[in-house]
Amino acid sequence: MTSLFSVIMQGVFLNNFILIMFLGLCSFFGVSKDTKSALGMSATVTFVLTVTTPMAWLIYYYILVPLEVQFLWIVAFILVIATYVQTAEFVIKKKSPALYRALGIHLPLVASNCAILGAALLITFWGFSFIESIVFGLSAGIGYSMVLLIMSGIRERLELSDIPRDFRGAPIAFIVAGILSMAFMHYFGVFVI
Amino acid sequence: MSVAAVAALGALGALCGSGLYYLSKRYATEMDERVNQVMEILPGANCGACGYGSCEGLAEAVVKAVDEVKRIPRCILGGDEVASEIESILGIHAERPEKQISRLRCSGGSRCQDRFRYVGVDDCREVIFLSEEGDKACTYACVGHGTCARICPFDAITMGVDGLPIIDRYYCRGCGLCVKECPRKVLTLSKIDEHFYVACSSHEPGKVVRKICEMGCIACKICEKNCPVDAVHVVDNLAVIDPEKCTGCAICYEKCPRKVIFPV
Repeated sequence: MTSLFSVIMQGVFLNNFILIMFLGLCSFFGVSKDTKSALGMSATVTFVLTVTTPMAWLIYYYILVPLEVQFLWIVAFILVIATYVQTAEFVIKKKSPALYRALGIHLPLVASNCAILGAALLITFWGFSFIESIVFGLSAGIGYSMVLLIMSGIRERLELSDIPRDFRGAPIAFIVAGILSMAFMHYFGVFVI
Repeated sequence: MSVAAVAALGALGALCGSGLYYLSKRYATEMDERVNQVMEILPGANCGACGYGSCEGLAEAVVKAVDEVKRIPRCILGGDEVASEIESILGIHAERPEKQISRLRCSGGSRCQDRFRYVGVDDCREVIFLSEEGDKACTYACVGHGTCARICPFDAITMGVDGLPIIDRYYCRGCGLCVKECPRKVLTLSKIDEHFYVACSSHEPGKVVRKICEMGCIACKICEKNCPVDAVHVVDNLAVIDPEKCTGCAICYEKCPRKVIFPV
């Protein structure tokens, strides 16, 4: 990894979690029906990603590597992420009921979201440094939010459109996701890393 | 290695588990039992007519208002039935506003001339978004693309053959979603026991209305002159009935040359 800029570009465009890595697809189709809930979900995912990636980094390099038990990484990351999300839920519920109402329903969804675990695995797999892993978590969250908001905008517009009967609902959403993914494929080769 | 693995995972698990246990005690939020009771009575449609985001929000607000002895928010859908059930649970007595329903203030539809032929997404909001004046010749008219019929959560609105929505007064619960979404603002909420209402919103002078619409108020003031209780007035080229004064004598309804005063 050459610079933080390239890490940001990786997270947002080149390895966009939804359209290139195909991570977090369940929430991508589940909460993209309207922009309001998409905003709540993307804020939650960005927040959780930014905090869990450095935590996963610390667990990996300060617990798993010294004990030479790196093969436990998936279990250990799931444990840490689930604990963290649950903690965040407790604290937010107590401290800020308004924020809890906005994020609350999405938090349990995020706990089992593959995008979060994927980010934790990728930063260790690619050998990012601590700072890079924070930046990657944040930019991956931004990339996720961007795509989710684009998709929710398109789907809101599709609701009004005269779609052939057989394509209404999920089929047209899959087609749209495919076209979006193809568009993002063109970022390959734009940034040299 | 297996010892290290068991030790590492065990330690991590124990740490996370005990941490969560501590936090769940420390940040325990006590749920008010009454909120759940109120929730069970509420319809659960999450329509938002009460002004809160969801039925849960309303239930919390109701319990809070009882505690602080404030005005109790009300479930618009449930009406008196739900209100009295909530009252019996919480041991209070709340005031009863009158039930409102949505009414269409336009009678043009296919009887109103077109400005142009609209071909596109079948949605009123889209029509008004593309052309502010709409595809009807009257800039006050219902555009008739059925947004209200599609968004009504209670199926109270259907599109009639004349291109106007028909509101079922028994199905309409007065949630006001259609009023909010109508880009033309030709739907209004009014009390259910009004006798008559003017089904036109046009502030155009009579000459213009006569030209573009077979129906439509032409501000002839016949209703105003004939009303025995002074309940009807023509304000800004449109007849307005004061429901407080109206006795339901039906004289204006009979005399109106354009038949835009509708009985309820």
